[in-house]
Amino acid sequence: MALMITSFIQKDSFIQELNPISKIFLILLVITSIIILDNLYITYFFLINVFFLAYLAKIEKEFVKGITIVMLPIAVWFLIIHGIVNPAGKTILFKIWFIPFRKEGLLFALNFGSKLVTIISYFYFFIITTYPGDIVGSFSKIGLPYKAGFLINSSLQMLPLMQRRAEKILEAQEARGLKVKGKLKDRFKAYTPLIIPLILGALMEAYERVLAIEIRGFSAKVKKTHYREVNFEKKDLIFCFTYLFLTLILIIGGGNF
Amino acid sequence: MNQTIIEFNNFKWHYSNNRKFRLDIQELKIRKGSFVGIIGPTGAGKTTFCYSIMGVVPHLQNGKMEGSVRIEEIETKNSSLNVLSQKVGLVVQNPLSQMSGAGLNVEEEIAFGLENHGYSRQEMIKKVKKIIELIGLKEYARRSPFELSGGQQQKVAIASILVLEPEILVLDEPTGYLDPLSTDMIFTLVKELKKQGKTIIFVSHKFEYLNELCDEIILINKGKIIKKGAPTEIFSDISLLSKNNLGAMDVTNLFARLKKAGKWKKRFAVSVEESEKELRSEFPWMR
Ligand SMILES: Nc1ncnc2c1ncn2[C@@H]1O[C@H](COP(=O)(O)OP(=O)(O)O)[C@@H](O)[C@H]1O
Ligand SMILES: [Mg+2]
Repeated sequence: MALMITSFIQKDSFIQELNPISKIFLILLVITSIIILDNLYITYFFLINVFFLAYLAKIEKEFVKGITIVMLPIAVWFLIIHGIVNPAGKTILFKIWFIPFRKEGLLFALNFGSKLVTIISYFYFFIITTYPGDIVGSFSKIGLPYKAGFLINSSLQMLPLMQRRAEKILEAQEARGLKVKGKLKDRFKAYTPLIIPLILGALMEAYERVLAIEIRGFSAKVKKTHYREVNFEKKDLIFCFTYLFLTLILIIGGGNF
Repeated sequence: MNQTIIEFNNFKWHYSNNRKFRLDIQELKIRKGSFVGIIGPTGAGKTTFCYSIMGVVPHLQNGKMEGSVRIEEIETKNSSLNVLSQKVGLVVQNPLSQMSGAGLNVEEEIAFGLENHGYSRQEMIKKVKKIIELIGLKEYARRSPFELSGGQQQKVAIASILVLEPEILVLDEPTGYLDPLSTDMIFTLVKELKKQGKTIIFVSHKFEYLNELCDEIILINKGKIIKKGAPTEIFSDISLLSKNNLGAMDVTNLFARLKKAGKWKKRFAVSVEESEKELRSEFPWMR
């Protein structure tokens, strides 16, 4: 059973009830201030903040797990590569065996890597705390195309389906004696025959799904309505203003930390 | 009621990337409120026939069409799938591919068609509730459609189509992926829908069920209607069936064997009940 790291987790907190637009607003704030300010402390502030938000959303365990699986390998890779080969590197900080790690390269990796991790964490936070069905509604409410919302929504739903399909194919192939565990080479070999049925199956189903949604009026030229109500409420306003305010303080105080 | 609801006239269709196959229906009228079973071997054109009623042919397929298909006063080729979706509903074999993924639970999945047609929220809530009760999905209403069994998903697919209140329901091998229990569930449901006045077109290889439920059977092969008739007439004709690569039901085959052994001269029975009656009257010792 693979980890379902890509899907919305249903929990009861105000974070899940926020309008998706509020969370997108926060993401945009984070991205702009991290990029404009180029300040490590601000980056860390936002990084800690996203864990705090995950805690408020009652999904901290899943969040930490998902982030570790996705980000840790990238972070380690970054530190190694830049520590060793970044041309900015001058001062040797330490050696592992005979390979020197240089201070400037490591700092660069730390700086750049932290930013990347922070931004990706926010996207991840968005995915697992946002009810996909709400994305469509909130998008069309502010005039973004219905089909764009639908596309985001349905791909978010299809990802876990793809995972499940992959598991099923693997199980079937294991049952027929294919080695899935063992040496890296064996594992690699095992995953190759997975690819073709996975892609073919997904394509077939995508084609059939187009038919299924078209015969339910997907392209009807009327103004779409929404079964679920997504409103921009007081809590959204408070949420957005709190973060706007915080960000402004950070920007004003920017260089002085 | 003798009103025609579906009418084919000099209809011809071939897919642009397939020169071998052509669906060719000179003339066909289907009565409003009737339950029509469609049978035929794989590749006969059953799915294409269903597509032609739904308007998927010609609107969502590449190919060339001649003649016309009419759904009441609407000529499909001059209409659109959006308009037709409120006249005809199509349910296909794979339950999973019919889940739009538009909502996280069954209720929202069912509401998808209504959202597309711009119904108000109040209307949607009313219609969805009604359909959920009709189809018997109440205990699943808040569950994800992706977590349900194939049979339950197929019910959701039917509900999602019926919520638009089409008069015609076309089912293209809807039990093909299902276990016997779910299959029974689907046929029972469709039987109920027929009672409520829907016109039903049902493609299936499950002759026992078709024999019980259909007013009429249409046998299609190589893109043509080979024969149209009462279920007993078609299903008892073993040579017609085998000429079209279809196997007859076990009970019917039993009578063919009896005939071969020189023990039977009458028409072949097509159901267990019928054969019991026939056998008892023919062979006094069975009484
Ligand atoms: N999209 C398509 N493009 C080209 N050929 C097709 C397409 N769909 C079906 N066919 C061909 O048309 C013929 C009839 O198919 P179909 O209507 O699916 O038959 P059935 O449902 O009775 O098995 C087959 O030969 C099939 O290969
Ligand atoms: Mg077919």
